Amino acid sequence: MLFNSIEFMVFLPAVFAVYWLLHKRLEWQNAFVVAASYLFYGWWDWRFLLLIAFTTLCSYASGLAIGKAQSHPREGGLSPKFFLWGNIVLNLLILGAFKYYDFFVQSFADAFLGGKAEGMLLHAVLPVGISFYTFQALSYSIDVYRGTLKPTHNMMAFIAYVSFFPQLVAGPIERATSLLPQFERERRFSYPIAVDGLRQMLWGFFKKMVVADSCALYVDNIFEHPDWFNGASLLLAAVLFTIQIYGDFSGYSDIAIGCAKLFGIRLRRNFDVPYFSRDIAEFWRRWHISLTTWFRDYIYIPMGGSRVSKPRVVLNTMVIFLVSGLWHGANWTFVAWGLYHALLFLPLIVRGRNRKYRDVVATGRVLPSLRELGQMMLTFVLAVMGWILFRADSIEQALQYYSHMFSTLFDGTPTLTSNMDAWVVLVAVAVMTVVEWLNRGAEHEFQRQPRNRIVRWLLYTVLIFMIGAYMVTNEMPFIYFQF
Amino acid sequence: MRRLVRNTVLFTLTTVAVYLLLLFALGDWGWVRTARTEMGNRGFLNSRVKDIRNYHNVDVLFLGSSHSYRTFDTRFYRAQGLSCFNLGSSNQTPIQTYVLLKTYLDSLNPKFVVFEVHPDIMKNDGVECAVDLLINTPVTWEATKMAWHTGNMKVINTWLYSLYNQKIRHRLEHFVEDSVMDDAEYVAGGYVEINTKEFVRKRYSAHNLTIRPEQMEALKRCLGLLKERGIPYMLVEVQDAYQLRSAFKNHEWFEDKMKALGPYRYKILPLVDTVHFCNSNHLFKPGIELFNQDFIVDLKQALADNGILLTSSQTQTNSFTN
Repeated sequence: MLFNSIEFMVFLPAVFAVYWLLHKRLEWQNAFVVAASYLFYGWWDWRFLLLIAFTTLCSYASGLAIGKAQSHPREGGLSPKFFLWGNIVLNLLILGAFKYYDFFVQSFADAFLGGKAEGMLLHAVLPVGISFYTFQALSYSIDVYRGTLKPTHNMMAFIAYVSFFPQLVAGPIERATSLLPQFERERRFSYPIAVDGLRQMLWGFFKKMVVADSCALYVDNIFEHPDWFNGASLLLAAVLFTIQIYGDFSGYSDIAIGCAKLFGIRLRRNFDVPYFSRDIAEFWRRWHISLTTWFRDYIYIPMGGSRVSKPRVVLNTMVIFLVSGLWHGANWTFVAWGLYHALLFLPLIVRGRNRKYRDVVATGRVLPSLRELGQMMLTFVLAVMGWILFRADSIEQALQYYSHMFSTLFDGTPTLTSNMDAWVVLVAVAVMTVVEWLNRGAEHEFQRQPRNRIVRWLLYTVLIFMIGAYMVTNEMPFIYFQF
Repeated sequence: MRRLVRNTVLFTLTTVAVYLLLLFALGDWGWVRTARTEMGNRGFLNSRVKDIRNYHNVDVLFLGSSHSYRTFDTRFYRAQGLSCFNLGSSNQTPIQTYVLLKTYLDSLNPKFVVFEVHPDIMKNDGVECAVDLLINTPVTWEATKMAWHTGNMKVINTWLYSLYNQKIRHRLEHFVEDSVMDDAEYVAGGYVEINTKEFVRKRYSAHNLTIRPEQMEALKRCLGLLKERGIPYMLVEVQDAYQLRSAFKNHEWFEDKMKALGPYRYKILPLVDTVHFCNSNHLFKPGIELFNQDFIVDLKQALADNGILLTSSQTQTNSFTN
């Protein structure tokens, strides 16, 4: 079920009402969350439910087994490490089979068998959100193994933790240490939190349905036939894709986090105004935070992080970016995108300047300084160049795109699809930029509001009108669903 | 929780009021992307629906998309002794055909129906035709059900605007559509004549045809309505230019689907793309002439098979009055 669908408009109020009717019975409430989440997920394809149920049960069982092996070690018995690695390997095998098997077999065949891979390929349909819930399930086993979390015996709470519908298909990737305890204790309804959740959802819908989808109309057209357009059009499409992917993914995250607030559940922040970053290191602290911190905590730090020799730091950084790229999809373009960012990041980490900008830009001021503006623009341009790799269908297409863009950059002005679309994109992006700039230090990008209720409500209704009047009416799935 | 419910109700009422105000105000300026607010277009549905008042008890009713209203020249059939009306409209899919049938079938009371079907139309979501229908024809209960059933914001916004336009401002009844727009001219009886040909050679990638389940359902509903009233019909597919038609990989599959619904005619005439076609989808005057000359034979046979006998007196007295 898509957030931006009629079905969800019916589903959410119904689930909300029943959920709070059950607030005095925690087990029932959790069971209802699981039922609603499975309905939400099964809306795409009920067969995927078997997969998520299997992943959930394996991780639950491995947590118990790890806990038991740690508290009652038996001579000759299996070690906690065995159960941990058993669960990791199992989950990665499932993920690998559905997401990466065909890619690696095809790449191998391209390199050594003249591309003939037919007969060896699975052609499996990628289950929606598999990368997200797999990582979430893995974090539980690892945390139990590390002793930062006790294994839970509350099965329903654990299933709810893995399958909680707002963040099931595209994150934020939650940690068991933060989300699981919330399902183990009673939730209380809070009016201000629920209203804040609705506000955050509204902002998420605006970013997705107006900003991102409007950009997508132009971007899809240009990326389909880049050789038909001049360099200025290609550059504009790259810039718009940069905005699209932010609006799309951060919009989804806002809807998910806001929706969870309606149920008294706090999810972690996933984006923190990344395009207001002053260098690439800051950008990566603000972009897809739940994934980057997952890699940091479960891969980068165990490898030694930055507290090892310089060559090892370089290696660790390269690994983390390449894995991060590959996480996004089975295509060399994602690997190249990861490599590109690694190359931008390395000079900063080698010189120890990767943590230079930890505060919010222009704190205590309305406008940034010229230097800050220049830094933000440079970081934005670097991100734009990287997103071309990310959006292209293949490395060849990306290289052709760059080549055509730079060689014809001054061959005229960008081609526009229609005046109305250009006008909508311009206004929507301007609104988003101003609102997010004003909220850059807040908990989310639509938190600070006028005190006067009439003005506040007017603002919301105008935003709702903008969604209704300027949304793209074709079905536009979220980009990150494919990951 | 009580506070949330109370404020949600209040907020919803405020939102509805502000939303409608902005929609009506900006809609007049054409500033709403997800609504069609301008009446009239080259499909001439507005003129056609007003023209309908002049036609009752016709021999043949043509239904379908632009393939219908740009191909079945009502002047030609009238000259052949048949009273007829062409109720085609731009991108008309069976979902909208059903609405039109429910609204106008009684007054037109046809003896026979020619239902134009096309693979591109059967996979269409119907949004473009839905907004055309809502803005250019009176909003009926059937049209309202259709609008909400699509769940598409463009259709719903257009429905809201049309209600305001028709019920409060009474603009539809006072609107007069030009009978000539660019190279298109409306001909009494529903036909639209195109006077220029801009055939462009295009390469279409080969693709499999598909049918939207909801369009198939709607088509069955339409045919069910005709069967209920004992009106015989024929499904007709008008040929496309070769450059488009040759890209259909599984046309036989489409033909089988249509044949299962009743008499179906798809005949390929030896036409030349650059001579007989306006564009990939539509025939041009010489092609239309050849098509209709060929089709009238099958049509007369179908009428005879169904016991619909035509006399010259019948053609003269049949009730179109213009």
